[in-house]
Formats: sequence, C-alpha cells, structure tokens
Amino acid sequence: MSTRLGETEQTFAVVSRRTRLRPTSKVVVLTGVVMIFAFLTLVPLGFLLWQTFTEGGALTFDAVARAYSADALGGMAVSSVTFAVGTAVLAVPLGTVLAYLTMRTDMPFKGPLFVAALTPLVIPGILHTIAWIFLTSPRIGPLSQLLAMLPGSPTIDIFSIWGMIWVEGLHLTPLVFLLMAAAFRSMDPSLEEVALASGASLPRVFTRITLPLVKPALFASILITGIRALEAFEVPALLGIPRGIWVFTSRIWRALERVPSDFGLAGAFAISLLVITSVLVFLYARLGKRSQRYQTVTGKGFRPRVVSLGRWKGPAVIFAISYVTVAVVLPLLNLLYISTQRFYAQPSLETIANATFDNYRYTFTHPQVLRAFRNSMLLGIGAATALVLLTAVASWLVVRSRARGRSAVDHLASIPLVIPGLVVGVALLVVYLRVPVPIYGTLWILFIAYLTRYLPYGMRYSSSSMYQVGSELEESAYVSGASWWYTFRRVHLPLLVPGLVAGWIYIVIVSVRELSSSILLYSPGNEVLSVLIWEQWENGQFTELAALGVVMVAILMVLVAVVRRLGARIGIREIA
Amino acid sequence: MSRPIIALLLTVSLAAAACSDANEESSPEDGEQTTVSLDELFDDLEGLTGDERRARLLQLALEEDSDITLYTSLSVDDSGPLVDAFEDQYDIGTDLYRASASTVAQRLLLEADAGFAGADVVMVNGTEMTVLDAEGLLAPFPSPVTDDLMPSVVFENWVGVYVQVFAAAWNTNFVDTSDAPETWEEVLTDYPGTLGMELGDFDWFATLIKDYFTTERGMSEDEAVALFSEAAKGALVVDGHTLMAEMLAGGTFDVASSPYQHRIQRLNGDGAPVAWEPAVEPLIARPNGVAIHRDTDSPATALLLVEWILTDAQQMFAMDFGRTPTNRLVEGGIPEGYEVLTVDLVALLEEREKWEGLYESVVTQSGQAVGGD
Repeated sequence: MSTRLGETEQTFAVVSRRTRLRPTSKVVVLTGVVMIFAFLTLVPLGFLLWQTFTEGGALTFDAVARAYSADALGGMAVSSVTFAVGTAVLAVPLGTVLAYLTMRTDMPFKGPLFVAALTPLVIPGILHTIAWIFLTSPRIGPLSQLLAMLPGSPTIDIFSIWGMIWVEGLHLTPLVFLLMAAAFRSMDPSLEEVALASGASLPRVFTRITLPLVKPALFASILITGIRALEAFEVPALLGIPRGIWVFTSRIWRALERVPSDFGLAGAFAISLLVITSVLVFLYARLGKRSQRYQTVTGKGFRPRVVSLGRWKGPAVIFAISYVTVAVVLPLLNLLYISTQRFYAQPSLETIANATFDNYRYTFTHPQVLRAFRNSMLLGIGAATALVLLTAVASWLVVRSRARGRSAVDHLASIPLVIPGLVVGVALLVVYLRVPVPIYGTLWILFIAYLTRYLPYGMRYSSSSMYQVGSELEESAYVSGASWWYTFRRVHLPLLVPGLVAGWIYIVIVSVRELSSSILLYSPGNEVLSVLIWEQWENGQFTELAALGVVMVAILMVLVAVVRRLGARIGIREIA
Repeated sequence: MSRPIIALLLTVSLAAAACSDANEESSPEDGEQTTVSLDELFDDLEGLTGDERRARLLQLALEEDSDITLYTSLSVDDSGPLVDAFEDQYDIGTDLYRASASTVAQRLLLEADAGFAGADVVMVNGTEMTVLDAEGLLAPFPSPVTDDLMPSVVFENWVGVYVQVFAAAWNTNFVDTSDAPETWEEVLTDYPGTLGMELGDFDWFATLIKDYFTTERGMSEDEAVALFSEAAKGALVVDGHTLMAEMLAGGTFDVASSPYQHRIQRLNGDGAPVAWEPAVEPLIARPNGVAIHRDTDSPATALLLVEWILTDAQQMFAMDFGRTPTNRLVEGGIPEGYEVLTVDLVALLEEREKWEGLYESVVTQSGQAVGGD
C-alpha cells in the first residue's frame, strides 16, 4: 500500500514539475515566434510607412494625394477589383473540385492528377503568360486556329480583363488546390457517409456537408487568391497594359521602376491593399470564434475513407481531363515547342522537323546554372522548412490559445502579402547595410527576404489545418501530464502534416520563382535560378528561357511527387 | 503580447539609428579619401599615353592586389565573356552584379546612402548614368582614351561604351518590303491595330518630338504628341524590348515602333521574319556608359578595366555582341550613312518628369480604338 502511494506521489510530482515547466517552454517558444514574425514584417512595413508619410523628416500626405489624384483612378479600382474577384471565382471552384476528386474520391489516376494540378504553379509567371499569348494569338496561335474550325469561329482576346482573369485564375488554381487538398485529407468522412447512406446525392453531400466542414481552408483560399490577384504583376503587365487596362500593381511597379524610385507612391497604393487585406483577415479570424465546428480530426479514431463517385465518375474524369488539357498540357506543350526553336514561329511540320536541342545544351552548359540551382534549392527548402515550423506554432497561438492579442499575430503574418517584393528587398538592403550583422552580400539576406514574403502563405496553410484538429486531443495530452511543448510536437505537428506538407511544397516552388527581391539582394556568386531566368528574358533569349523553364518544371515536379509520397507516410493515412 | 514586439522594435530602431549615424559620419571621409587617391592616380599617369600608360596603370593595379566589382545592366551573355577576357588578359579577378539599369542604379543609391561602396566600376544605360552622376556617385574621368570616342558620348564623369539604337521594324510575313514604313509619320499612322509600342521609351519619344517632328518637320509639340496619341489608341503597348521583338517575330503585331536594332538583327540572323532595313530615319541612339565609382578602393584597377573596355574590348562589342561601339577606330554596328539622332541625356535629366508624364499619358490610351477598356 505504502509503495503504491509512493508511486502515486511520484507521478504527481512529475506532473506538477511538468506543470511548472509548461509556461516556461510555452512562453519562450511563443514569444520567440512572435518576435520573429514582428521582425520579419514590421521592418518592411515600417520602411514603407516611413517612405510614404515622411519627407525630410516631416510628416506629409503628399504621396497619398499624388496616388489618389491620378487620372482614371476609378477605372483602375474597378479593373483591380474585377480582376481579383474574377480570379478568385475561377480559381477557387476549380482548385476545390480538383482537390476533392484527388483526395476524397475513388477517381482513377489520382497521383498523376495531383502532380498535373500543380504544374501551372511551377511554370515561371512570365513564361506561363507568354505561352498563353502565343497560344491565343489571332493569326498564329494554335488554340485560335482550333477555335476557328468550330461553328461560329469563336475568338479569344487574351489582351482583355477576361484574358487576365483566365490566365491568373489558372495560375492560382494550384494554390487553392494545395490548401483544399490538405483540408480534405484531414477530414472525418463519417458525416458524408451518413448523408450518402440516407440517400443524399453526391453533389448535395459535397455542397451541404463537405464544403461547410472545410470552411476555414475555403475562406483562406478566397482570401489568398483575391489578394494574390490584387498584387499580381506579370499578368496585368503583359495582358492588361497592352490595351490600357491598369490595376494598382501596374502603377506600383511603374513608381518603383523610376530612378530614384517613388517609394511613397508605391506605399500609398500598398497601404490601401493592406486595409483590404486586414478586413479580410479580420473576417477570417471570426471563424476562430466558432472553431469547434470545423474540428474533424478528433479524439474519435478515424481513417479518411474515399467516397465512391458512382455515376459521377464519367463527368469527373471528363472534368479532370479537360482541366489538365487546357491548363497544363496546352501551355506546357507550347513551352516545349518553343524550347526547341530559335524564335517563336507558327507550329508547322517544317518548324517541328527543324527542332533543335541547342537551347537545352545552353541550359546545361551555362556556367551559373548549377550554382544558381543549388542556391535556389537551398533557399527554397530552408525557407519552406523554417516557415512551416514557425507558422505551425503561430497557428496554435492564433487558433487554439486564448491569449490576448492573438489575432494581431495573424494580421502581422498577413502584412507581407501586400508589400511588393522589391520594397521588401529595398527595406532589407537599407537595414542590413546599417545594422552590424554581416549578412549583406550573402545568401542569408535572401533567406530573410523569402521568409518575409512567404510568411502569409505558411500561416494560411498552418492555421486552416489547425482549425481541423480537435481540442480534446490536446486536452487529453495535458491531462496525461504532457507539457505544452511535448503536446505540440507529438500531437499537433503530426496531425498538421497534410497542411504543412502542402504549405512546404507551395513555398519551395514560389521561392524558387521569387524574383523581385532576389534581383536586388543577390550578390556575385549568390545567383539564384529566378535571376538567371530574368537574365535570359531580358536578353531576349526567349527560347533558351523556355528550355530552362521546362527543366525547372521537370525537377520541381519530381520534388513534388517525392514529398507527396513522404508526406503520405506521416500523419493521417488514408485507406485507398 | 505587445511588449516583446515593442521591445524588439525599439532595439531594431535604436541599432539602425546608431549604425546609420556611424555610417553617415564615416561616409564623406571615405569618399574624400578615395577621391584623393584617384586624383593621385591621374597625377601619376599625367602625360603618359598608349602602351606606356597601360603598363604603368597595370603596375599600379597589380600593386593594389585586389579583385574588382562591376555593377552592370549589360546582359550576362555579353558581360560574362567581357570580364572573362579581362581576367585572362590581366589575371585580375572580377565580380559581376547584373540587373536591369534601374535596379543597378537603385542599389547604388541605397548603398551610397548607407556609406557602403559595393561597386568599383558601373556600366549602365545613359539615362541611369546621368541620374547617378547627378547624385555625385561617379568619379571624374580625365583619360586620353576618350579622344578616340564619338564626341557626343563623352561626359565629365562617365563615357559611352556602345550606343543602343532604336529602330522601327516589321514582320516580313505580314508587311512586304514595298509596304514597309519609310518615315516616322507612316510608322505612327499607317498601321492602326497592328502597331506595337513600348511602355517606357520616353527618351525615344522625347528625342523624336524635339529633334525630328518639331525641328525637322516643323510641327508644334502639341501636334507631334497628338500624332503619338492617335497611334497609341490603336496600338498594343508592350512592357520591355525583348517581348516587343519576340511578339513582332511571332506575328502578334506587324510593326514595332522602337525595338533595339541589334535584337532585330540577331533574330533576323536566326531566320525570324523580321526586318529594320531600309531604316526609318532618323534612327534614335542612346549611349550606354561606363564610370568609376567615387568610393572605389581600387582606383587603378577600376581605371584599367574602364580604359580596357573603351579600347581593346570595343572589338568584342562590335563583333561578338552585335552592338554599335563608341570608339571611332573600331568598325561595326549601324552601317554608315544613316541619319542618327542621339538622345540628349543632359537636357532629358532636367525635363524627365515632363517627358515621362507625357509619354505615360500617351501610352495609357492604348486599346481605345479596338474596343478595350
């Protein structure tokens, strides 16, 4: 008896020691993460505000007045909003349905579909847009010629707001796909099964049961695609400006291209984007108040079972094939074709017969390609890993804790969404040229730039997954005496894996493509792939650029396939 | 939650302020010191020419025993072989930072603000060069090698390395040589709906209006601007000269108003259906320049590189890179006999806001004649 009592006392002693330790590890980790967030986001924001509202040390609203007295401001606002809303309206349903089919149904060829769905994201923005320009060119575009054979000879004008929405929407579909795929993967299917067993049709179950359960991810997708479109650069520049369609970012870019740059003007526009973003993040945070509704990973054991498509299999396959053909195969084939030519010419038997691999030879023998590739992978993988870990902790703070000011962390993490990459670059340059930390001229400054730029994406992936993890799992861990840090590592992290893997893939891909801050911050010897791509673009080596693009797509797709396999081994396993 | 943030902000801003002050104090001293040593260098070389001067300069450069950093907007396919050739010839290591002219200028201005000298030698477009010069970043450049250069490209603190030539060009599949434009008026009026214009070519625009339409053709400035406005309404406006040339070759439009001549020439050599000759005259040229950074700590090596670029390397610019060299002793580039107007960079620096604003108001009208927004 006495021995048993002794054991119990010992257990209590351990628990109470852990209880005493708990706030320490928790406070240290959380404070550390918040400080890193604050540092990453407030430095560029501070720089932007300083440039916008001060001149010679005095407060001024001159930049704001200049920005908002511009001619055709109304038209610009209408174009920006139409473009953003249109893009979200196209990308969110497309990405969601694709993710649902890939993750939750017995659709055939799910693996290839997963990789194909991500391809438009991997193609560098400039190449993706130009592939569409040439595909739809009225006189020489293969797609235009195909359409001309149809009754009524429909035509496509890619240089229009609809063209912009189409190309940007397709480019952002993978972002939605990844977010939604992670959410579907972590979903308890029991409610769906009950509804199906009660005779509800599959589309009805999808819209009434499935979608409401993944609302946080859905809302995150709408938020992030809308904002991404508001701050998109390549598509408005290449498809809008030719026909006089100007959006905010075209103006910001023009202000930054001047020498010396008009940061004040860029800042004035960026701050209005920041206001819009804050409102959207505020709305997103309101979901948190009802967070229990979305907790599908609960204490109750479950295996995400796949749903049988039944008679919907045919339409689903047709939908997937159409999407892959239009969004992936057409631009990629066009890119492959361009990469074998010396300049763009209408595809014909003659041009195909004269195909050359010189462009690939150039890519593989270019002295900087290997070094740039190594640097890009190092930075991409480093930034992605750091960000998913940081944002996993932060998402616990925002979604799970009841700490005061927790929503401020979410707002903080969203700031970089609206700060142009070049401004992030300039702010870091200004700071690290003055602070005695010797990272200027090294890869570290690029690393910090990537952390800053992609923090918002990491946060959305992590927090939408965190919403799905039930609080009882955490509570039972605490009751069993686990510390907060132990619980976080052993309970939360494994359950967040689908979301974290998706976020990781996304951040690696976009980091490898990042140009606007890299171009300013790289130094001799620290070149990255995107800088090389830009080089070729600027130098008019368009067909060589296409070859490098094709190689990049191939390598990143292999990486995606490998990570997807690895990710599938950790966390929630699905029953095929 | 807010305390750590405030603490961090305070720390960062204090550190930044402290370092910024320190740099501000040290910056002028650094600049002064280097300027003195540049002056000493020029004194040392005074009266020397040709091989004798080059030998002395090389000796001084080797005594400095340091690598050199070049910031340039010249594409890496040209600037890479250029610095390789320099390294081969003199065994002096060269680091290359490559970006667009505006980014290079941006970085130089930010570095100078912080009292940091990243570059020893700068090579960018003349338009950006004048801005850097106006900001006092370039060292004076008294050198006998400038005697052989086109007089129009020699300035006090920088000199032209090659000239960038803007030439109207057309797609030969859609425009017969007999229908090709012969005058700028034809370029701007004869191809509604099938003309391509570039978004940022305000220097080309200003030079054509000031030195051709008003001076040679007797138009008023308003009439000339109206001509461009009408053209823009039916044009596709493209951001970047590369895209402009590719879209012309691909047949997206028939005529391009201001692509780079060397780019069209190169595409033509690759078999693309593009042509710029017989040229629409006058051709518009803008020098791309080279200069020594005022804060270089290797003045002799920097001067050696610059003088080498303006003499030995000029052949590479003409033959290997297809550019028009500024050294009159070297043949190549634009065939002789064409009327060429050079962009007046000094005047343009003062009137930049006016011409940039005017050109922007012209090109933003694009799409109005073809049913766009």
